[in-house]
Amino acid sequence: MHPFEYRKVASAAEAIAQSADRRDAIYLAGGTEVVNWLKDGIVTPSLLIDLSACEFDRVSLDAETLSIGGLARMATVAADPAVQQIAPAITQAIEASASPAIRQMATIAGNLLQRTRCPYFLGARHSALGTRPSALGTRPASAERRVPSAEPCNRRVAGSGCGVVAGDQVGAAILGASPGCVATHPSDLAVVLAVLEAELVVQGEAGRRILGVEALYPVTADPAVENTLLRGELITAVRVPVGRAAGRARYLKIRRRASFDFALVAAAGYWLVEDGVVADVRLGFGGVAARPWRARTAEAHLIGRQPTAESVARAVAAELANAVFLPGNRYKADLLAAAATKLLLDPPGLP
Amino acid sequence: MPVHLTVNGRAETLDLDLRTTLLAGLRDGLGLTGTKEGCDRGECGACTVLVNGRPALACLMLAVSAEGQTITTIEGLAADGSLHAVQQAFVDHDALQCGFCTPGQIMAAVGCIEAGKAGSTAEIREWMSGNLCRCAAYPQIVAAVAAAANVGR
Amino acid sequence: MTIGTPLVRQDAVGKVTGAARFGGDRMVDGALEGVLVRSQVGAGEVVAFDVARALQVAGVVRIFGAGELGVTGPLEHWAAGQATVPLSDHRIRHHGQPVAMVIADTRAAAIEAAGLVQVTVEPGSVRVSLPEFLDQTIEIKDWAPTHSAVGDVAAGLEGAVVTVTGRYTTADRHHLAMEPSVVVAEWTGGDLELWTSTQWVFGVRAALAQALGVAADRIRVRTGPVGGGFGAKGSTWPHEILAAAAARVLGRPVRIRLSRAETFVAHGHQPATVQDVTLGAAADGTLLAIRHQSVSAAAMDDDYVEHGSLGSRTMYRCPNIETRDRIVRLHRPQPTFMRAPHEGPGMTGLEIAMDELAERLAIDPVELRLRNYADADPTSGKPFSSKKLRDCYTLAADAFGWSRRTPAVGSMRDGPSLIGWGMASCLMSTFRFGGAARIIIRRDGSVRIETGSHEIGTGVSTILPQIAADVLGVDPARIEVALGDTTLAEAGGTFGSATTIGVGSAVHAAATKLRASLEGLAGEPGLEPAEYSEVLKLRQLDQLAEVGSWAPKREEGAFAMNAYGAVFVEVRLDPIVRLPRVSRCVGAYSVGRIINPRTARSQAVGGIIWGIGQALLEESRIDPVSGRFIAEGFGGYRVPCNADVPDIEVMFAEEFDGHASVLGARGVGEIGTIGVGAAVANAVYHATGIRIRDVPVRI
Repeated sequence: MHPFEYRKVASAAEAIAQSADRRDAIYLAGGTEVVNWLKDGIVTPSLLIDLSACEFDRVSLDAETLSIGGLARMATVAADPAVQQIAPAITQAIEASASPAIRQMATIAGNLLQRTRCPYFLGARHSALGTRPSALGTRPASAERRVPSAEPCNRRVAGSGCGVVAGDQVGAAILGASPGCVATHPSDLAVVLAVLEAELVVQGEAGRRILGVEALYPVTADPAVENTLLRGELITAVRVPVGRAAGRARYLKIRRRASFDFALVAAAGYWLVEDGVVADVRLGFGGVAARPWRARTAEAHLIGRQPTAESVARAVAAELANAVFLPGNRYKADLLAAAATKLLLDPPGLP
Repeated sequence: MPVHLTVNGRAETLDLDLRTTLLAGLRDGLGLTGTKEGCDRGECGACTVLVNGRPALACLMLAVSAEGQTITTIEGLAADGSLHAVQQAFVDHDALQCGFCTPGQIMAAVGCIEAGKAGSTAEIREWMSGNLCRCAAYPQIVAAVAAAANVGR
Repeated sequence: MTIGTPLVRQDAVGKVTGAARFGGDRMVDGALEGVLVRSQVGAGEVVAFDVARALQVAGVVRIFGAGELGVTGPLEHWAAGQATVPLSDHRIRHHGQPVAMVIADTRAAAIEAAGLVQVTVEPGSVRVSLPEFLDQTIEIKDWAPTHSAVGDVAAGLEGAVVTVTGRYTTADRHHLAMEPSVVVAEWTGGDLELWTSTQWVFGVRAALAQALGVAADRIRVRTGPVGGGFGAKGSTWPHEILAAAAARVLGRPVRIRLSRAETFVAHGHQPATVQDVTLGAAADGTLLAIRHQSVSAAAMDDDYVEHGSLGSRTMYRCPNIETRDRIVRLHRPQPTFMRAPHEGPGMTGLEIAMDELAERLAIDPVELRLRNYADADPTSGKPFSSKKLRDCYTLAADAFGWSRRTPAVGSMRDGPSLIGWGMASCLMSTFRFGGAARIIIRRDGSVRIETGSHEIGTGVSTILPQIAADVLGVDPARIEVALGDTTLAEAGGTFGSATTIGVGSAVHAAATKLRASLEGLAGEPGLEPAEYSEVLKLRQLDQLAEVGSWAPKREEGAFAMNAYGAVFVEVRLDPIVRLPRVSRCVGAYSVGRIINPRTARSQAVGGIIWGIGQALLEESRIDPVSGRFIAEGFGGYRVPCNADVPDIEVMFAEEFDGHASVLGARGVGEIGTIGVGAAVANAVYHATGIRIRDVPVRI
């Protein structure tokens, strides 16, 4: 691990002030992401600002909004009666995430700010933060920004290329990818929040702003832009509109391992059928893009159609009209259609 | 940097490099080697301990950020020389083979039962899935957790 | 009789309290920490090092490059996992190969410095893909014959009414014991003491002796409880040699702890196989021809053959059988034995092909196997030492409820869920090698067994006291066991499902001698256990010790020996998502006498779960450009977790195999893993009509 200084802060304001002094500071919340980044040299901050003593970790409910503190632990949120009643898909998504111990540590904001598990992004870890053979090293490593991997990844080293293109493509994105990056975003919760049209309360040097959850992520995968937070900004709360969408939406995750695994693909949403046709629908996908993917084309396609598997298949096909496939990830098209069909026709039961 | 923790009921002060994880602090700093390092990336559960009574992965926590917290490790589970109900159930049900993942399994099981997630076989399987066992003693682990949960009732 | 009773594991309490001390739990005063710098290219030559900046890291003691450690290869002893010795030359043979070693006061400093070592490499072109090089197979000499032939397969196929032919594949897989290996080497004068996570202390000693140029009797190798091995810790690997070599150069203890990511490249893996299987049968299902040709991925300069066709030589009665095992050399780490080697991948091909044949002939899969039941080894002609496979088919089929199976594809459902039932035969060659044990009885009546065997989780430290107690008539709780030390009586490696046979029989022999000696001292036969102390007191002895040994007898070579089984699985698939999950599994095994039904059951259950991993989850993918196994962690390489595991029922056929060992036992450690991949594939076909010939299943 690169050496760093460490400060524990008691409030968001204090955190932001600390970060203002130090351009390469990063925040530490649950630690389940950041500690691994530190070990793998993915980040090399000179200052770690520990938020764990801050108090924006509560869940509250009023008539219009379910508000979840950014620092709330995933396990706490999943078990919260208000969450389970108002937005059960949030509990479903959280309980499908990671493991109980990790959910006990990890925070809601941290979950949204996860980074990809692409094997080229993670790099060659067997080399104990090892060296790059210099024959491959067009970018000599410096002490300040050590590059512990020879694997090409534009997210790790700008301009180094994308290892997936000529490499292993099983996990690669099919939507919203760019020539420079086909990573997927790993969050389950983000997919649900995108479907629920949740907002983020973001605090920074310039004050407070509200950001739609989808706007947290670049529209097209940009290896240089992990998210749209400005330097020093914090997600202090997630606000979920109370209403039909929150009440009806469900989350379906498809993974190889029966638990403790990232999604191959995932789907969140619901439909409302009136007079034999779809009158209202929301649909979002996970595991297919570097962001939670709100399937608006599919939604538009479904409105007014009969609520059948064929309708869903056609709607997903419409959503995938602009998808770009690699030989290794074509399976995701069928699997995604299956996930959407299952979600809408036979939604998973509540916990 | 000095870190103050309550570990297995004892106040401990550790003088640590900031980069030390709680796992390394417990093992190297306090000699509590019952907590195991299986992956050091939060992917196996072998380092599960209780932090303020709840399961947490010691490899994903910097020791310094655990300042002031109460930690229970496998060494702190047995009271007055007799095994904790979960430990006894693991012995009785042959819920271990090589034993390397066992401390983490047991700490996770304590958390699982405490959280009320040991109501059925399916529930135990799901809530114990963060703890990998390559010997694959899983059915015996499930039986042990179910038995220990019944003892507690 | 204590043999046959479900004695609780002797080491259980230590393991549930955290008191058990594994290799990494030992504190070693003054030990330096070694970190290996590993190649990030798959082929080439190291042409230069720049260690200037790495040496500036506080705490760094030394950085070794090639030729600086006084180690030599190639290693000839079969205890060496690979013949090539990294850092003895400048060649890079695979991604992840050690190219330098940093020694520092702390592991953190060593890791930091490792990241600053600049290695200049002349990269070579990398051969990665097994399918791409299938036209370049070679046949090499190995411990077992790489081909066999009886009868005339072409003629057999000509006479066949039905022929099934297919290409079947299995994936690259990793052992991934939960304990990453730790080695500590310490020299005192010219004597080396080495603690390491190993399944074979005597093997490590032999390999180190050659690599270091030191007499074996100057080397003591020890291990504590081993946190799982599965074959990865069965041989001697470079980190063990390099730790010893560095400690010798530096005159201080050196410890190397492998990271999880390193466990993917440091000590072998199960290589991918491509198997071509052809079966020919008469209309009644009688097999007329079996051809099984298997190709496994191998390293460039090191030899390992995955004998995928081994099971086909023995499994079914058939007049015409032809098998061949070949390799393709690729830039990859050296593969090795992994639970279960050879038949583990190989029976997948044979048993899926048998399911295809059953379907083509419209014969029940169990019935087809019974019609081709072998009463003698069809290739060697030898009788079997003991074989209760018929019982296994019956026991498992009945417990599973196989008679309720409707054969038509997609014909079984539970509500909307698709259900498939599949089965397979299991067979694994029995390995037997000799061993010795010393047994001591003290005046207080307590007993101690000493043998250089190992507790890797299989229950050795529980069953050895049971065996001794059975002979001596003493309470097994009064028998302690010392293991894992080359100063103890020599035992073979704890692998190959061979420990009960070898070490168990040695303990039996030692205990038998001890009892005879006690009776001799007493001057009367039929001594009661309660009288042992009296006898020692009478003869003014503090203790009495005997050494016993056991080795396979020449005349036993007249028999073919294997473990057998039948495994039945149920898979369920959601009709929309169609991702198969195993929902039920029953296995019955013919493995000789069961010494401890509790630990034996855990071995078989664990084996079946390994099979579920092989069937549905485990595949290590390789970057085609660099030759890197890209997973490098439990996140990328999925081993089964608790939720993947259904209800599993295990049964053992009543059996005593007096030809395999004096105990009547064969081996139970690996047979459970075999057949599950095929049974799952066959069940998926039964549910969906999709014929699976590649595992893990990907539909």
